[in-house]
Amino acid sequence: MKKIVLIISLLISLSTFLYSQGYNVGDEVAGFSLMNIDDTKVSLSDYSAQKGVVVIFTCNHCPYSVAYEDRIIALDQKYKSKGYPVVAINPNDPELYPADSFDAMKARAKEKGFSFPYLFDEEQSVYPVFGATKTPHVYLLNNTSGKFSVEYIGAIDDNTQDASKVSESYLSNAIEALLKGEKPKVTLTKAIGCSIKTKK
Amino acid sequence: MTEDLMMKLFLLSISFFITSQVWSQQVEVVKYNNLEQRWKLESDTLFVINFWATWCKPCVEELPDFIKLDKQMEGKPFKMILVSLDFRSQITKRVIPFLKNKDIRQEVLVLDDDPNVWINQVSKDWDGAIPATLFVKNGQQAFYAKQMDYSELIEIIKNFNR
Repeated sequence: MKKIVLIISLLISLSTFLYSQGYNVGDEVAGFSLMNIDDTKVSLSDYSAQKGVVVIFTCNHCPYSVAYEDRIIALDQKYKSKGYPVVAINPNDPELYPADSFDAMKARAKEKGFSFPYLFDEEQSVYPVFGATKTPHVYLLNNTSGKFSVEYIGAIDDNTQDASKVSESYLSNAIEALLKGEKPKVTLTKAIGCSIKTKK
Repeated sequence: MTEDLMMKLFLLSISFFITSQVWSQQVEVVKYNNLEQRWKLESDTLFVINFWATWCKPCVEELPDFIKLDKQMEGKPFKMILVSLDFRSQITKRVIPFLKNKDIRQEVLVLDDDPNVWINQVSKDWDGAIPATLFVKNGQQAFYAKQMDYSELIEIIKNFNR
């Protein structure tokens, strides 16, 4: 029995440790610079004139990401002009998921008509800083005089399978709150996603 | 002649109907609370609940080890449930063909519920990345959000039987 308690407490402390990796709501975000599908580098600092940035870790191979493609395009089209453009980042290793290669990213963006940058985290160095674990995984950033901080982490909405059955549009609600100068009511949500895989 | 053809078509459609019924019975769509009832009602049984999907590469990789464990535990108070997070629309197109192809006989359910609620019910520390596995017996729980192999599974099971 003592052994079990010990194991359980070890597991809890281990999971707390693992869980605390990456950003929490309120944290300031470090800059990053990644290659976009148009072969130019895109940096977080490029957005210093914007009110914020909707960072979405997503990819080609994952059905949960694919199910959101149209909704991500719609979000970008709605909120880019209001100061919250989308920046999508593919965090996967294409050796493990060939469908997530840089060329495949270019092809998919063209096919779907992505209106936002689709960056490749080739070194797999940016997603761990954020603490992203799966795709899709959203980080809504707010810009306060050139410093970006995390305002919302989690899902786009509460129904991946059917956009017509969404009852809570978490991400839109959070952006709308920021636009009103308020803090989002819901700052952390959970959703199923495809694990980000790495060889390391 | 026409009648004969009609009869054949009729029999063919009947047999199609029966086969699809048999397979769809194996992949029921459930809510998390229905699932939870299972281990709450059978407290003497060790439940291994594996959250997976046909599109999830590490999940598919670990499945043979889970099936090996299930066979190893045959005759013991042990129940494995493979909870698929494939979309409902993929049950006939992907899930059932996958199960047939791999000859998976374990119980498979498709879970369709509010993720922001049920993920926390499984574990507060889980953020929804799969594979993930829950071990439950009579209130005792262990949860692992990672790919696992046979020896790890056996180790966890041993702790439960103490």
